[in-house]
This record gives sequence, C-alpha cells and structure tokens, in this order.
Amino acid sequence: MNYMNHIKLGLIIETAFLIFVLTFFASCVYEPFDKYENPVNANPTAPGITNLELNLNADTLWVYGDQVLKYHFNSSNEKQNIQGLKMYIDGVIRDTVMSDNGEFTFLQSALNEGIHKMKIELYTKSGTGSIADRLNTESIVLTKEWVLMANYTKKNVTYSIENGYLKLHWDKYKNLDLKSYKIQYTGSTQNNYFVDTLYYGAKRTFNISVEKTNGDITAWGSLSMDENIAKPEFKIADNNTYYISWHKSPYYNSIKYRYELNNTEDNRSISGFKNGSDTVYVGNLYFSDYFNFFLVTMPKSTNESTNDYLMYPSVHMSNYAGEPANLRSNTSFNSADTLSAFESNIVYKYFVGGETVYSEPIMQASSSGYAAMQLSPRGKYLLGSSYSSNGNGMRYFAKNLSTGDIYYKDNVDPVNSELNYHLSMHISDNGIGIFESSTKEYLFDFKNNIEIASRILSTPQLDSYIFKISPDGKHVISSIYSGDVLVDVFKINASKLEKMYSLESETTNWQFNPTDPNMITTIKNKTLSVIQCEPYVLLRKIEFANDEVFMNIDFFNNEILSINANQFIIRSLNTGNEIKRIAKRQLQYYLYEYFILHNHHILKNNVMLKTL
Amino acid sequence: MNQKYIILFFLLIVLLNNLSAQNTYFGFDTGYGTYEMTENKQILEGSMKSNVLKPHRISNFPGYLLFRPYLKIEYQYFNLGIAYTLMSTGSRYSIHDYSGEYKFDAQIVGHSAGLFAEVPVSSFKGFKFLIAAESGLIFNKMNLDERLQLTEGYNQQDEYNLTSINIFVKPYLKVEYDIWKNLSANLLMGYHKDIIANKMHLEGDNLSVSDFVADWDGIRTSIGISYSFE
Repeated sequence: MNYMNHIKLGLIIETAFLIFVLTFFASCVYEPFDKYENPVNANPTAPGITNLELNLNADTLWVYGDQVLKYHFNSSNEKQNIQGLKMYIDGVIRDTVMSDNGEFTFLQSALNEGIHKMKIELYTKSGTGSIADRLNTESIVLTKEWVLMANYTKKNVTYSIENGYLKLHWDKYKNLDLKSYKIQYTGSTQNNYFVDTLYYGAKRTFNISVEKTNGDITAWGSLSMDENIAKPEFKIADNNTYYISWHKSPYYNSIKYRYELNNTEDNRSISGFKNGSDTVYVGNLYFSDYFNFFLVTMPKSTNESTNDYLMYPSVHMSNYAGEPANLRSNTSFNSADTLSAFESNIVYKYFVGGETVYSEPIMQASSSGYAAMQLSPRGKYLLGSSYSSNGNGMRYFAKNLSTGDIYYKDNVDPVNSELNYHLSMHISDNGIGIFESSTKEYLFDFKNNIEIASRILSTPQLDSYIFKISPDGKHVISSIYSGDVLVDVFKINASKLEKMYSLESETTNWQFNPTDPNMITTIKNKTLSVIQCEPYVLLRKIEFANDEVFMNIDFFNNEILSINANQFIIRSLNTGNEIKRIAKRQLQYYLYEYFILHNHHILKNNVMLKTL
Repeated sequence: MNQKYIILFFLLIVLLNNLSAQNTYFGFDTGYGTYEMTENKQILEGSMKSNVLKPHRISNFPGYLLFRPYLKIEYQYFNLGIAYTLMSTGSRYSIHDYSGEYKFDAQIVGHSAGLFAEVPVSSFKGFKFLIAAESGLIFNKMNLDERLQLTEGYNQQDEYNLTSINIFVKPYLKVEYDIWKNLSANLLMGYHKDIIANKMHLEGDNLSVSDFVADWDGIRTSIGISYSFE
C-alpha cells in the first residue's frame, strides 16, 4: 500500500511538476509590453508664410519673356515646415515640388501675352506632433493666388537732356523683386531713369538690364546714341580776326574740352582745357596761317594732369586761315569778277570760290600736249604752242574763247621736235600775239594771219625773252635784261615795230593796264609810276614806305596792294591814297610772301581775305 | 553540428553511469537573471535616436526569469550533471497616438546546454553547501519586429531573426535541503559570464553579420527542486 501510495504520490508530483514546467515554459520567454502615448496638439493653427524671393504681398506678377520665377517659402512655425507645393496656371497644374524652394520657368512660347491666373498650394506640416505629422502625411494646405500679366512688348528706352546732362528713361519693371536697374558702362539705379554725368557724346549703346533681388539679371532694353562730339569750325569775325568755334554740346555740364593749336607759321603749339559750356577758341591766327587744331571732348572728371584725354575722341582740323578760295593753276586775273585758267587741255573761267562758269577743251580733237599757254589781259584769247598737225615741229595757236575759233602760226620751229615750256608769249585781247621760238621772235596777227614783225635772235634762247603786248595790240614792251632794266616801249605800226621810248623798272613789275590799254605801270625804288603810253605822260607817282613791298595791282578796281612787316596796305591806283590797312602776321622782311589783290580780296594759299 | 553535440551528450551520460554512481537526480530550477546586452542597447538606442518618429524606450533588456532543468549524478565526493537553461529578455521602443502606432520590439532568447560539477563543502542539519561551476554553449535567437500602423490604413511590418552561439562559464554557490526522501530543494546564486560571444547573423545566412551580440553576462539566482531516482 505504501508502495502504491508512494508511486501515486510520485506520479502526482511528476504531473504537477510537468504542468508547472509546461506552464512556465509556455510563458517563460520575455515579451515586451506597454506602449508610449504620444502627446499631440489636437488643434493646430495655420502658420504664417513668408517668401524670401517671391513677394507674397503683390497680387500681380509681371512676366516679360522667358523668365525664371524663384521662390523660397518660409513658415513662421518651425514645427510646421513647408513640405512642398503645387503650382497652377489658369487652373492647370504646372509644377509639383517637394521642397520649400525652387524655380519655375515661364516660357514665352507657353504663356500667351495677356492676363492669367497663377495659384500656389503650399503644404506644411500639421504641427500636431503626431506620428502622421512626423511622417509628413498630415498637412495644412495654404493657397495663394496671383494675377499673371504676360507682357512681351519691347521695352522703350528714351532720353532727354536735363541741365546739361544726359537723362535716360525706360519702362518700369513692375515686379517687386527689383534690386536695381543696371546701365552698362555707366551705373545702376532703382529708379526708371538715370542721369549720366559721365556721358560726353560718344556713339554708344546703353543696355539696360534688371537685377532682381535673387541675383538674376534680365535684359530690359537699349538705346543707341549717335555721336555728338564737338566739331571745330574755322570762323572769321567782322573785324577780320579768326577764331575756332563748335556747337555747344547738349551734355555741357558733364564734359570739358582739351584744345591744341599748332600754328605752322610760328611753330607754336598752345594747349589747354575749356569747360563744357565754351564754344569758342580764339588763337593767334592771321590770314593765310596754316594751322592744326585738335579738340578732345571728355568727361569733366578726366584728370588734367595726365594723358587720360588720349582715350577720348579728338576732332582735328587743318586749315589756312581765311575765307576758302579755290584757285586753279595757271590762273590769270583778267576780269573784275571771274578768273581764267587752263589745265591740261581745258580752259576755264570761274569765280574765285571755285564755281566754274565756262570750261571747254582747248582743241576738240587734239590730245597732244600744249606748252607755255597764256591768256590775253581780258581773257578773250588763249595763246599757246603745240605740235604741228603734220607732225613736224612746233606751232603756235590762238583761240578766241568767245567764238571758239582757233588760229595757227605754223612752222615756227620746224626743226624742233619738242615743245619748249620756257618760251615767253603774250597775246592781246584782239588776237595779236608776241612769242618766240628758239631762234626767232614773232609779232603775229592770228586773226588776220599776218606776221607783223619778226626778228632773229642773236643766240638761241633757252630762257624767255621778257615782253608784253598791250591789251589792244597797239604797243609792245620788251626787255632782255634781268634786274633793274631799261624797257623799250614799241608801237605796232602796220608791219613793223617803232620804238617810242624807254622806261626804267624792276624786273617784271612793268605791265599794261588790262582795263586801259594805253596805261603802263612800272616800279622803281619804292615808287610806282603810272604812265600814259602814247603819247608818253607820267600821270602820277605813288610812293611806298621803306618797309613796304609792292604786291600787285587790281586794275579792275584800281587798287594797289603792298605789305609791310605786319600789315596789308591798299591804295588807290587813281590817287595813290591809302584806302585801308589790315593786320597780318608779323614777319621779317626776308620771309615776306606774295599776296594777290583781286576784286577786293587778298588771295594766298587758296584762302582769301575780304578787304571791304 | 547539432548531431555532434547530441552524440557527445550521450557518450558523457554513459561514461558517468559507469563511474561508481550513488544517485541520479532530475531537477528544475527557476530564478532571475540579469543580462548586460551592452552592444544591443547601444545599437538600438542609436538607431531610435535617428528615427523620425522619436519613439520612447519602454523596456531595455531587463533582467528576467530563467528556467533550468537538469540531470545530475551524485558521486561520492562530487556531483556531475548536464543542464539546459532558458534565458530571455528584450526591449521595446514605442509611440502611439490617434494617427497610428509604431513599435520596435527586440526579443532575445538563449538556450544554453552545459555541463556542471558540484563539490559539497559542508553539511549542517539537512543543509548541504556546495560550490559549483557550469560551462557550455548558448544557442541565441533574437527577433526584431518593427511595426508601423496608421489609422488611415497604412501598415508596415519588418521582422528579422538573428542567431549566434556563445560559450559561457557560470560559477555558483548552492545550498540543498532534503525536504523528502527523494526530494530536495535548493537555492543557487552565481554569475554567468560569456567567454565567447559572437556577433549575430541573419538566421540561415551566416554571411549577413550584424553588430548585435547576445551578452548574457549577469547575476543568476534561482531556487529549485530535485528528485532522486533511487
């Protein structure tokens, strides 16, 4: 019994033990339990939104072309950060961004010009602190709308002048993200105008661009300015003084000038600066001075003590001081108002300013050379030499410039095959010529084809004989000596020359008066003698001062021109009285130059000086 | 591998039975153990800090019950035996609100198989005092379970199992009291030390090694009873 009880007890104990073991083993492994309850804000409020790039205060956005819209939103509550956004234009979604910042490009090709509506939906964290909030699956949606104004018209840039400065104006950039307008080469401003205090008138294109607050730069417009640089002009005052002037620059308050005058007559160079309002430079200029003048226009701020002016445009003029004239070569002063000249095979009559009133080939069909041509005192005949038509030697011809008739004197020098350019010749206004060949001297009536007289020269002449014929063809003056000489006065009588008397005169300064064929003038020892040719009468003597030098006589206006060291002196041929003195550049006697008085003008170097 | 351990186990039983055995005992101890799990704590703490949901730590590998059935043969001067010990602990990170729930559970279980030897040192009025030591293998298994559930219907669960094997020693003191002819109670106190603790790898994939380590180091206290098969 005891044994059985013992066994039963063992079985009970083992069973209990087994149940105990199984129970423990079933639940003996550690199992984590419990959970953390997250405290949340159940009623969050929407955060304030600011934008660092896109102005939220503006209701209108202007699109001016292909344009990048940069945005960077910021939440006022750090627990409600911006998670992303969606952008709509005219109700159509255009962009989705999972960020608080980004860019959107407006393409002109995709956005018609006109009015549109843009909407941005912003997604922020809810800020509740919940698990969903932390996983960004719980958001607050904020919406902002703008009116989009797409304006693709070209932006106008204009200018005006204000108080001597250039003022640029342009269409206004209407978005609120303007940082500044940038004007290329010039500066920047926040206004839609700019006063350029450095512009001096150069040709320039002003490119205007818009710099936005985000650093983007967009081309806005441009304006090309034509050059407006002072161009100096030579001017003559009423009192026959000379100066240089230029138009007043519209930008006179922003510029100054540097001038430089180089006068070749006195080898002096004068330079300096003038302010922008100046328009005149008066230099030490006298009639017929040849000078160079440089005028540099530059900004007023340019340093004067350096060569900075060299980088700015310089306008240069070279000129003779005086009224412009245009004298042709081989000009004869044989009219009161017009001049006669021949060049190549053309004979001209023209005004002193260069205007041609008559031009005609000397001979229509001839292309051969001419030599030693001479116009008659009143320009009615042209005397010259050319090759003979048969090709043998040289012949003389006379052309009536009124009728065009040409008369010849053949076989003057049949053995000489070359034209002699050194021969002396003169012709009267009625077609009687006096001329020479290498061996002979002729007096020939071209119109009537009559050889009035001739003489054989004792020795072949290489240098010209000095002779002149009176305008009416009735008298001849001849001299064969240089220096102070006696000149013989002949009368043409039928077919011979009759010597009437001799006169004393300095070389070449004896001549017939083209307006009075019976008047001769001679110069001897500072005395001009006016002589009636036939019968001989000394009409008057006109005395020059010791420092005076005779220049010429304008027989058409009966005026004599002489000069001294610093003056032009004009006297009456009729009375010898002094008419006028005009200041001239002071020169030493040995530097005196030759001036011509004609029709109340003094001529030199293609410039002239009015004497009235 | 497991076959080798089983063969060795039976060979050891046969060998011990051939000694001049006096009694054979079957015993069962249960008690409380503390577990270091240092690396695991650090890894999970670091991981949860970077978790956007910021879950809170609910438990962190606390000490927990252990269970130790064993078979012991008593010889004249000492006892020899084999023992199986079940150890477990774990951690939880959690957050819960109206919008959903998130939790990350790590449960680790150690199955140890060890040989122990006990030497009686004193006896007094039915009490027997012994010093002992146990050493063997621990087969570790750790389950990582991460779950996210939102009230809007979103659910996500990721679960991983990691395993490893440790070698341990456990010296302990033991007091036995004969409460019945064949039944005795005992009280045990010792310290468990993993002398080799390998990094855990994915179950079935020895190449996928993690930084988790089953670190069972800690105090062991237990009470138990044993039954003698005379």
